[in-house]
Amino acid sequence: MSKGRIMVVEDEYILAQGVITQLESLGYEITSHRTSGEQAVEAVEKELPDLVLMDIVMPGLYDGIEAAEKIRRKISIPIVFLTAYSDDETLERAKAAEPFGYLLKPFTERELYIGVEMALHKDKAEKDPTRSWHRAPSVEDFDPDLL
Amino acid sequence: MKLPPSPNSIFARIKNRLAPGDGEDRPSYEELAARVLQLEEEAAKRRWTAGLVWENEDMFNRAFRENPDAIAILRRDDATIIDVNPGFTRLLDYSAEQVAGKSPDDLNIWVSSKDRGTFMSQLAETGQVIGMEARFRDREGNAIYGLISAWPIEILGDPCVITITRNLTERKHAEQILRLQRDLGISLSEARNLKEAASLILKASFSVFGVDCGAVYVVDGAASSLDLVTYSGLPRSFASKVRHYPPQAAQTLAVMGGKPVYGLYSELAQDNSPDSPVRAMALIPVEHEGRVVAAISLGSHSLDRYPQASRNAMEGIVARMGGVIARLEAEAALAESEERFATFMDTVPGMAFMKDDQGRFLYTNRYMAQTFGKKKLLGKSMHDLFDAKTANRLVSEDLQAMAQGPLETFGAVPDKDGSERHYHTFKFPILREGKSPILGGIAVDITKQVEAETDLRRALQQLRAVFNTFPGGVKVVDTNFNVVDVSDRLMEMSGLVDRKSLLGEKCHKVFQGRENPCPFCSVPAAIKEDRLVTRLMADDEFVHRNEEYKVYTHPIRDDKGRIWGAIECIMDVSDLRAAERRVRNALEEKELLLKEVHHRVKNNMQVILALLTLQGARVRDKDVKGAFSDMQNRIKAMSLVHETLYRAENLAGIDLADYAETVAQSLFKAFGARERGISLSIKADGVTLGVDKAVPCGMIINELFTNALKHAFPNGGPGEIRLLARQVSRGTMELVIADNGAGMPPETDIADARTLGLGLVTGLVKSQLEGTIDVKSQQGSCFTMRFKI
Repeated sequence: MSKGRIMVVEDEYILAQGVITQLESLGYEITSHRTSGEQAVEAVEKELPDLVLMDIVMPGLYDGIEAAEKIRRKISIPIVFLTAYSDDETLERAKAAEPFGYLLKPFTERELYIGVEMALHKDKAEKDPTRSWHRAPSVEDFDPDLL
Repeated sequence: MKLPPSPNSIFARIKNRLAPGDGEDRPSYEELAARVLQLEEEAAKRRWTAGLVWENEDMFNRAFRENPDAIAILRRDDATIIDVNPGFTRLLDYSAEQVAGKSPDDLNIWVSSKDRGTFMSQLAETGQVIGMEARFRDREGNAIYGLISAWPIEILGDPCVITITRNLTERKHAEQILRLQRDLGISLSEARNLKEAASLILKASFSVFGVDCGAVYVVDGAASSLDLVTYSGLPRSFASKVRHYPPQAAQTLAVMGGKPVYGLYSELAQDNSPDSPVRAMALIPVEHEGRVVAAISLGSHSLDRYPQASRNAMEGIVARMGGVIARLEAEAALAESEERFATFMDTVPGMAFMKDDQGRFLYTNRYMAQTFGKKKLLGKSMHDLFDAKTANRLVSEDLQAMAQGPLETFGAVPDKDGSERHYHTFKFPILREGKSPILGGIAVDITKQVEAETDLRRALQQLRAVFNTFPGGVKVVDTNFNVVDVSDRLMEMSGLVDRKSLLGEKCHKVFQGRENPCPFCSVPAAIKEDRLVTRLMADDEFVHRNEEYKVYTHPIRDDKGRIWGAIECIMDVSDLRAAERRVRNALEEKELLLKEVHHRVKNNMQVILALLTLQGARVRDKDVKGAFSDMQNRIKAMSLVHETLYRAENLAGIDLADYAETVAQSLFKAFGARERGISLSIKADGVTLGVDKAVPCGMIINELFTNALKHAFPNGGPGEIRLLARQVSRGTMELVIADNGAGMPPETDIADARTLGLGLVTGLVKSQLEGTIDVKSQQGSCFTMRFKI
């Protein structure tokens, strides 16, 4: 059984394949690879992934931040941004979309794993009324092999 | 008439008287002698008397014979006619022989039994009849009017009656005609049209002796032909035959002769057909103002010729027709004139009116009624129709026009909807003899012109405002360089003060102090080429040397499209030019920096390549070495994008032909392709790619060339690898990479390609470039890709 179902939204094919290969090796199932914000918004309700990894700068009608806002209005799914940009303006815009994580390219497989797991956990905690909203994940929550 | 008794008969009668009768005493001699003497005396007296009688007889005879009146002697007891004079024959057309022994009743002389009764009773009662009017019938049955007198007369002891009849027919006819003409005159005066008048004329004509049918024609002035107006007493079939007479018809020619023509219908009409019932015919032209305008044809079914009296009567009646036509024409002309006036006034696109001396409308045309929405304006005063202020103004104008003569005014009056309409009005007095003068007026609605003028004034004001608030200086010159207008700003820029003094002066003189047009002037070019001409101001053209000016010159056309001048806008572009320079500098800086970035990226990739080369040199495993080599080629392909951009003048795009050539040559070299007899063909003229498309495209070219160089020619050449790139439609590019080598194994599924290379190609085309890929493997491999650029 997979550790979680993830949709990857990234216009650079080779970079996407790199991320997908890493995620699959970490034990996640990839629901699909989308190359634009529009594609992601359209497919998300059908695929209902546990998490969306979203590039910010993409060609098309709207970029990753706008796509994330549209997805959030439709369903409650954790979204983690992948980006090479760390300027203040992009960060402010990204914050407004209330993401579950922000991974700055280039990232290592370990950074990717932590980012994804933190987001999945936070989402689980938010949706589980028996667990405290503020409780941080403990070491037990992670796969010791991967750590 | 018998002769008086002869002496022998007298003696016989005496002897008879002397012969004694039965029982009578015979007279004595003395008595006889006395009687003889008496008789002799008596005879002598009688002889004398007989002489007298003879003399009287002769006179009587002459009087009887030569009297122009008709005299008849009738026996009293049986009313047989004893003798008639020639006057009788003339009057009634009977000779003495024809009437001898016949009574008037035998001859059916009395037309009216009433006349006869009156005559007979008067004669019986008073013994004589003096001057009684009566109608008689002549031998042919014609009625004759006569004034008859009768006395008793004894002829040879026989009681007789002598009648003297004077012919009153002509007088009666004349009277009748006069009466007829009088009555006709009255009825004709009421005739409303030609047909009605023609019918009346015909009806009147029928009272003329012998006339029992007829037709009225009008002359068609243009064609000189006759057209039937009306007819009477004729069968329809006959009338339809005579409906129109062409110019050359006998009737037409007769009528156009201008004189009445009488004769037999068959001769006049040249119609001998047995079905024409008309016998006597009269064709009487009707003249009006010296020309024949109509004709009346009158016919008789009973007479073969009209008596003179009938002719006179007919002509008298017909003569009326000319007068009627004249009246009808005059009336028609008047009616037409009135109608024309009414039509004209009602179609005039303005108001026309007349007012009485009290200021009340006497006449208003239709336009006026429509404007004020009131059908009945007549009798209304200005105060009945308008508010007090408007009414007072109009009344004051009216009074002024009446007192001082024609007046022209401009003013607004509310219409039926209450909206103000502007009028240009002419008011004038109309003087009438013996009557108080009236006021006439004509008002033309000039609201549109007033509005247009207002709009024009506003437009001019707006133009002037734009002219003066325009940040640059503006001037307008005509084709002869005369100044037409100068904006305040240009006055200020040029240090000039009196704008009006410049107008009409030569532009080059006012602004440059030159005698001839300035050599740098762009007005001639703008006018000649009919377009906007822009130029930078010449250095010596303007006083402000530190500033830069741009001059925009555009031709100006009139309503007919002819160029009459040009407008020049002089803009201070110092700031704009400075900004342009800053932008250009910034752009140059940016391009320099970008090139630097591309240069550094390329250098960094070169470093990576060098590191891979170093690392690869230590690797012994052939597969790993191959993977190292593949990676180096991929990085080289990417690096070449940056190198090309760094060298290129245009940073926005990469020339695909150059780029592909470089990548291919690099791979050919790496794989020693030329030595193996493999050639290269690249055709990608004019295709330019942005950086975002150039990198995946370079990767695709690298993978497919590598694939071909590795696998297509396992036994070496000769062989060829081809690259064809072209734009197939707007925004879509087709990239074909093919070889004529061994082709791919039949089980190869590029979508599921296990090898990284083909997998990369499919993924890049479909996912990143959002395109399509088609693979054929016959006589080598052929990859056809289409994607948006």
